[in-house]
Amino acid sequence: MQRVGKPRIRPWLSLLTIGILILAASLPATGAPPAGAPAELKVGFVDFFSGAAATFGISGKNTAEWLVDKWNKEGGIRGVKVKLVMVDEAGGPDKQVTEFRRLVLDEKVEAVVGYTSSANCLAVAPVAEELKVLTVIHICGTHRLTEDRQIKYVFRTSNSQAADSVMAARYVLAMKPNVKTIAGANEDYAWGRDSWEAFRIAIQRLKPDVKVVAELWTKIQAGEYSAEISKLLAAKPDVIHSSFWGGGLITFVKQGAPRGLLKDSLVFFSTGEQALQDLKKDMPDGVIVAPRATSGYFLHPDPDRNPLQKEFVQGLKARFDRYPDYPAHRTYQALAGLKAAFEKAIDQGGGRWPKNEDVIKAFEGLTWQTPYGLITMRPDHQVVHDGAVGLTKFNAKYGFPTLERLVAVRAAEIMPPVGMKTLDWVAALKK
Amino acid sequence: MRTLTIILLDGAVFAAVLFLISVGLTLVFGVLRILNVSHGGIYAFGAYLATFLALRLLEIGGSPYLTYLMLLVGPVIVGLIAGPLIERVFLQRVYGRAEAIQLLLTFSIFLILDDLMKLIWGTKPLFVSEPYKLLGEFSIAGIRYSWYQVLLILVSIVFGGALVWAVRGTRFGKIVVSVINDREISQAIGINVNRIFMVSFTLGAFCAALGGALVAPTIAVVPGFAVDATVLAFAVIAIGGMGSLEGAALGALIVGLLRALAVHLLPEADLVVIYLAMILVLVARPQGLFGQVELRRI
Repeated sequence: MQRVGKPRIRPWLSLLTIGILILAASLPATGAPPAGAPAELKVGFVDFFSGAAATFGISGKNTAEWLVDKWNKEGGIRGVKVKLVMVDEAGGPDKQVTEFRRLVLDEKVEAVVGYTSSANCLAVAPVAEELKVLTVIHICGTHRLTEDRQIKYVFRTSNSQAADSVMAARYVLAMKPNVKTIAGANEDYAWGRDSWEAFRIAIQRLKPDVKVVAELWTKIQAGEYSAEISKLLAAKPDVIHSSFWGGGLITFVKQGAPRGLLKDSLVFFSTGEQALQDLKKDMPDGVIVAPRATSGYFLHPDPDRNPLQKEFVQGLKARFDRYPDYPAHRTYQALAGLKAAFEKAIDQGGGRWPKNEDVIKAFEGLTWQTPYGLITMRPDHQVVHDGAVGLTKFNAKYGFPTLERLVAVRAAEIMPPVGMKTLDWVAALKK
Repeated sequence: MRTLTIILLDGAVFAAVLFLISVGLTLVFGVLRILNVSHGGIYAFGAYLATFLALRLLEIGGSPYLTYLMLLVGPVIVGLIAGPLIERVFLQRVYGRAEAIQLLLTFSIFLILDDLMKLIWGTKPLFVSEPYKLLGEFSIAGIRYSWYQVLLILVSIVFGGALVWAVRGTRFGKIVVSVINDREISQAIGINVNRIFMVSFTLGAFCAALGGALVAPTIAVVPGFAVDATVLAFAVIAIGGMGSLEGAALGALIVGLLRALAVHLLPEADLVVIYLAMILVLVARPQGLFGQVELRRI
């Protein structure tokens, strides 16, 4: 006869209970999604994924994917997962307007984040207002976006282009107080023209005896700068300002550095930080570079003292084998702002999923956390923040130049106050 | 005098680059009578492959001087693969068809090549500096120049001379000229016209890839970098006369010098001067400076 043992249920039950508890602890504490919440929050993300500006766009896309994956693992926005719909920004303003309508009407996104090109953000903003769609501009630099018209649905989460130029003027004067002559090498379109004009006006305002000895205007992403470099070498300016970017910037440095251009003059590259990981030893020491007027830089604030910065820097490096550059930092600022606005709106609405208008109301005056620190959205839908700038110095630990003598220029010194037009402010700049 | 010396040297450097970009385009048009927009894609492929091979060589510890060899190996591979493939698979189907069809086909190939390069090498800038830096610099009129720039001028003169000799002074060249002049008669006297077309297109593809490879050490190779180069190449051969090797050389020299003049004396006109020159030449001489007026065949 088979002996049947006394059932030992209690130990198994205990084990099961412990297992469930461990499982529950490892799962994010999402709770129930807010009442009226959609199954997922669809967000359009628009940046350059092809063409020369893809060097920026891919950085933005990587950041967006990494950040949204992280949020979704943590439970999304109060239990609602975020889904990104990617759109390539290449193709010009007309195409972007069509793509924006498609995102809203066909894809039914609740918000759109992106736009690196000023031409595209200016073209899309009126359509966003017309369709009443929350649109967060992450990089586009033109001050006209927030100054030319009253905007309700469009927000910009980073400094405008003028901040880059004013920051450059202030840093150059700090580095070389006796500067007498300046020259510009910029691309012949709105970005290059605006960058140079704001720099020239700012530096001449701060030091009126500064003379311009050369103004060069090249084609966008021209592959040949021999004549421009010769002209700059012949003009021997104390300081050269350049807003070259991406492949054009790398080419200019490659052709100019061996000919001594970056040693003979003190050179400032407003987007230089973005190319350092590519240029490596080809970028000489002692060149002023900036991540535009962006507060975040992968070594500033120190990742070892700032957990959010550490997580961001290590996360991107591990997944994409590249440290976050300024498009990455600005993308983080934009997406984190959107998430914070939704969460504030949910709280203000008593836990219900917010309407579009509620999120917009929550966004105005919102303060949110970024790897750099807290930033605040002004009532004019423009964020202002500090800007980092420094001198290149090859760093053997990273295998590319990092920024030495890094200065974080205060927001109030590089951006106009609320209600003041940027050009008026630059023209009346004070030390 | 000092400024003039600098302008002449800068002009010659840019002219050399332009000649290397456009010579293959004019060669293919001369023989096949096809405006090959895919030229820009092959040019970019040459730049990508040569840079990739040079970088791999440096990674495995090869001598930096061997990078010059890679600048030749890359274009040979691209020319030998892309040339016969594009000509046999695609172009031979549109000989004698409307120009719009030929343009659309070669433009499609350009787009395919562009995407192919993105699939293989991604969107990150790719560049190798060793060939540019190894040769060092020299000073003239108080301005430092790189010897690699002088090398580009020399290579384009030697390469252009070799091509002219190949067309004028060899048996193969005479056969090509006969095909250019009359395809039907050439076929009737026993010339394998299809083979001449394939060899000529392969040579044109090699020229394009070589141009890309030699320019690559001075630039960042990024997606889309060849678009402007292609447009410039069309402007150069339109000025010089489509299908003419001498025309490509003269067109490159005119554009190179005009741009250098503009940068030094009137920077605001940097962009417009090239196309202004093209318009003026085309108004005065629609077939270009060295172009032949083609009689309509009945």
